[in-house]
Amino acid sequence: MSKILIIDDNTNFCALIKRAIKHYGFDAIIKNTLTEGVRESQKNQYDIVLLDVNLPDGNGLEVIPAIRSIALPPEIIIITAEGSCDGAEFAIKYGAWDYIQKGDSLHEITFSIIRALEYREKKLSQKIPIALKTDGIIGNSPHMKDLKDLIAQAAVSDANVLITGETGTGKELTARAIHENSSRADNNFVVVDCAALPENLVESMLLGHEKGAFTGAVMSKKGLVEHAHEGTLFLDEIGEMPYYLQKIFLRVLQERRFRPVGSTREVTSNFRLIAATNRDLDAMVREETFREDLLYRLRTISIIQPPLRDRKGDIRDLAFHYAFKYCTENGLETKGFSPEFLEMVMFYDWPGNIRELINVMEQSVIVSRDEPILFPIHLPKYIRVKFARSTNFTEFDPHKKQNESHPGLDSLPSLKEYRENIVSIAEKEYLKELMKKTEGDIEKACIISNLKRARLYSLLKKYSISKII
Amino acid sequence: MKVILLTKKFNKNGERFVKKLNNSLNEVDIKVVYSLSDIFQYISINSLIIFHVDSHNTLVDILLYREKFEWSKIIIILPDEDENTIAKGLLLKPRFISTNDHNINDILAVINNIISNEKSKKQNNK
Repeated sequence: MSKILIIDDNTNFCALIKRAIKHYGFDAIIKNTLTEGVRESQKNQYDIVLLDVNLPDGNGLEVIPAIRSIALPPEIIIITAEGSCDGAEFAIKYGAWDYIQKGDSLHEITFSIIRALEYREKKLSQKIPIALKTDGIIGNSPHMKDLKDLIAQAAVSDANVLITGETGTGKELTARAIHENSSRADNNFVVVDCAALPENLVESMLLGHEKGAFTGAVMSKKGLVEHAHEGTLFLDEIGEMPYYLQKIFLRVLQERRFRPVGSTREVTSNFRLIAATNRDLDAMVREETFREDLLYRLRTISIIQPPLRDRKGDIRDLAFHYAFKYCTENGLETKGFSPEFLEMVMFYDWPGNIRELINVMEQSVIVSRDEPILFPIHLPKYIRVKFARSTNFTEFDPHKKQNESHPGLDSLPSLKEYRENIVSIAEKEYLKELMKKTEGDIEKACIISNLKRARLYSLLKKYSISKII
Repeated sequence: MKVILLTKKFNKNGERFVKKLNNSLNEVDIKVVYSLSDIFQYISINSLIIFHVDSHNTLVDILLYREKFEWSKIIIILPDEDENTIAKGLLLKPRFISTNDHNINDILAVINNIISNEKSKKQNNK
């Protein structure tokens, strides 16, 4: 029997839903707080979680990743008294099945539950390749689990795939993984970079040309579409494809047949199409710079590549993976990370996504040379500056920090321990600020702090603070 | 963006290509290397690598190290248009694939596009 968990503090509403779904033969467990609900969702296997947004101990939307972090995550239906577009977008983006309002009829709510259960049943019965080849795709965050599920689903079908996401998120890796796990894996994977090809060259590169078709066409050439026969054609930066060519390509996509430039003969190519872009194609359709019919054709399966800032849980694994890789490649011993180094890496937003992280790890490994541990000093200046700016010295509150590290009165430390802890926090914050203000000038720092040079150095070492922050 | 060109020394085609490249992309710093092992000291994630491949054997050698070029952008100029050669070239996931007889101006236009796209991506990230 399907198991449903309701996390909502409105007991009347919970009872109403429980009674309604019992009618369909489903049982529901009710939890009235977020903490209890999340704990329950991780302790027992549920098929559906009905999750309220405003709960006494927090916002339901924020725990979606936690609920979805288990091996076989439940489908989540958000139920809220006050719906908002942003909330709905957030919920769907983070993998919720549906976003409904309490004002909707009971019938609509139960209908959504039944649809989600049907979908789940189908999903679980689908065969997924046992060992999915996902070389280079690192991470186990809920986002990455979803992505790997989608790769598996796309690999077993032959449908067109559209991958969207910011620059550097690894769209090409995903495309490659789909190809390598598909029945076309033994044939060509052909990349066409629509942004790199000059407009006058795209058509002949894609479709090929006959000798003498244009100035410079000294001999006939096969196009990339033909080379992708029985394989996969990956159109990267599809948003950059010239408008006139979109119409021609739409026909190629529909018929898998085309005429090379200057040719009278038709060529067939049985290719599978994967396209990728960082552009908003829907907006481009509205601006009439991208064809709507082509977009619909491309988007049979849609994959959204998450930015790195939305899967912070993977940053640590990625950083270790690439530090290890670059140490090995440069013949260096494997390096460890100091807590401060990791803190900065985790804190940073990574607007350039994985590509930027790899670049930074490579630089850090090279800059640190033979040092066995990576410290913040080995990170590029712009990351350290951003981190330093975010540390607002005036907001420093030792009591706050103490409470954070000792939640609950039952874990109150001894006075000595408490005092030492506060002193450590204060010393560390002070030294960080001191180094920032003096720009690492030890002489100035000694004057301001009234510390002897040796004592200052020993404190900097104790708290692993570099001279340059 | 680092631009690295691997070509063969004392090869007429190769030398002509280097000359043309240097003349046309005078604002770009191009590192010309003549052996595969030399590439690795210059390669980084943001590299654009141009393989001016003189023979099938060189192509096979390059393929042995293809994992190292995973995050680089690649342009490959192949020695011939044989199906097998092209299939091997495609394994490097090049942004542009061509042969020795291709109009060099087209190749230069692709290089220019890749460099300017990379520049604007960098600007957007800032």
